[in-house]
Amino acid sequence: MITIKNLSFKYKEINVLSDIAFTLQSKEKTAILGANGAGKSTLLNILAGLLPPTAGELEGVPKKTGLIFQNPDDQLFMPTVADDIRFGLINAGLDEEEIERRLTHVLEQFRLTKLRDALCRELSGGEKKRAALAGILALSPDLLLLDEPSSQLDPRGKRELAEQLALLPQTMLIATHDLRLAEQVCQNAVILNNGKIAAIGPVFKIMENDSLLYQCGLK
Amino acid sequence: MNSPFLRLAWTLIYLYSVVSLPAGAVKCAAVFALIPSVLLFKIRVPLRFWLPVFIPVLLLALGNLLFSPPIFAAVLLLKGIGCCLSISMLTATTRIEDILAVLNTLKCPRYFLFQLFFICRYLSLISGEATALLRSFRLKTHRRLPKITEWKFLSGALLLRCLDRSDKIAQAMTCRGFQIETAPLPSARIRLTEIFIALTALALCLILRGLPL
Ligand SMILES: Nc1ncnc2c1ncn2[C@@H]1O[C@H](COP(=O)(O)OP(=O)(O)OP(=O)(O)O)[C@@H](O)[C@H]1O
Ligand SMILES: [Mg+2]
Repeated sequence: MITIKNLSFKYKEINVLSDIAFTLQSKEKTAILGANGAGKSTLLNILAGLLPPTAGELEGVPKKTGLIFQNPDDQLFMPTVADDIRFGLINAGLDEEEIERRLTHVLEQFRLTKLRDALCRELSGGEKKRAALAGILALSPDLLLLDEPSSQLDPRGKRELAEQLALLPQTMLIATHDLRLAEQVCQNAVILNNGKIAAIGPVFKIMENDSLLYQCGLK
Repeated sequence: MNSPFLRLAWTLIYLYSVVSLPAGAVKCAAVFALIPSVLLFKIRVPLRFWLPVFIPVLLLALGNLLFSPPIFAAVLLLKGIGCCLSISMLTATTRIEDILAVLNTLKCPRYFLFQLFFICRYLSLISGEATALLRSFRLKTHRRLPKITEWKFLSGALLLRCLDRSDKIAQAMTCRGFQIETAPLPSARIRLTEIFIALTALALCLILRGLPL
C-alpha cells in the first residue's frame, strides 16, 4: 500500500500542489484527472523521486518505479528503439538471454518489431509513445506512473493501450484527461483542480458527476 | 583494420606524432597530413564527416599568419588537417560504444568514460535541437538565416533548450536505474597480434618523425 500524506509542492514561490493525501492499494489502478496545469505531472515526478516534496510524506513507494514521461522525446535518449529498451534492462543487470527475451516480447506487445532498429528521432509521435512505454514495461516495475499515456495515439493505439494496461498486474497511477481511458483501466480516480484534490472515489461514481467534471475543466 | 582497438590506437599514436612535430617541420607535417587524407579517400568516408572540420582549422591557420611567419601557419594548417581528418575517420568508422569498450578494457576510469559517452550523446542532442529551432525560425520569418542581431537570442534559446532536455534525459536515465557507480560498461577483447600491430605503427610513426625531411 502506498500512502501520500499531506503532500505539498512549490515551484519557487508558487504553490503547485497543496495538501494532497490519498492511498493506493497494491495492484490497484488509479487515474489522476485534471485540466492543464492542475499539477498531475508534478505529482507523478514527486512519486518517481525526481522532485522532492516541499512538505508532506510518501510511504511505501516501491524501489522499482517506472515513470512514462508526458513527452516521449524526453524518454527516448538512445539512438535506436532496441538500444533504448535495452538500456534499462542492461542497467538492471540482466543476462543477455533474458534481455533479448524481454526485448522481443515488448516489441511484439507494442507492435514495434518492424521498428526494432529504427532511429528514435525518426519515429512518428505515436510510435515514440509506444517505444517509451515498451522501454519502461520491459523492466516490469512494481509501481507504474503514466503521464498522459494515450496522448498522440491513434484510435487503435488507444484501444490497444487500454486493453494492455488493464491486463497488467502492477499498481498504477495514470495522469490523464482521457476520461475513456480512465474508465476502461482504472478502479479509482482522483480529480486535481489547481493543485488541490477536488474529488476522490471509484471511477464510475466520478464519471457520473457531470457538474464536477465540468467545473474541473474535464468536460 | 576492423578492430576498434587498432583504430583507436592508430588515432592516438598518429595524434601524438603530429601534435609533437616541431613548428617548422613542414615536409614532415605534409607527409603526416597525407596519410589520413589517402585513407579517407580509400575507405570512402562521406563528405559530411570531414568537410566541416576544415573551417576551424583554416581560421586557426589564418589567425596564426597574423603573428608568425607563413611556414608556421602552414605547419599548423597541415597538423590541423591531419588531426581533424584522423579523428573524423575514427568517428566515421567506429561506434562510441566500441571505443568505450576498448578504453574500459584498458582500465580507463569509469567517470572519464561516462563523460566521453555523454559528450557524444550531447553533440547529437545539440544538433537535433538546433535543427528544430532553425526550422521553426524559418517557418515564422520566411527567411533562411537569422540576422546577426538575432543569433544571440537563438543561441540563448538553444542553450536553454539543451540544458532542459539534458536535464530530462538525466531524469529518464535515473528512472531506469542508471547510476554512474554501478552502470555496466562494455568490454572488448584485445588480442596479442593487435598489440603487436599497434606497437609497429608506433615505431613507424616515430621513425617518420625522426627522418631528416
Ligand atoms: N519547471 C517548472 N517551473 C515552474 N513552474 C512549473 C514548472 N513545471 C510546471 N510548472 C507549473 O506547475 C503547474 C503544474 O504543472 P504540471 O506540469 O504538473 O501540470 P499538468 O497537470 O501535468 O498539466 P498538463 O495536463 O498540461 O500536462 C503549472 O501551472 C506549471 O506552469
Ligand atoms: Mg502534465
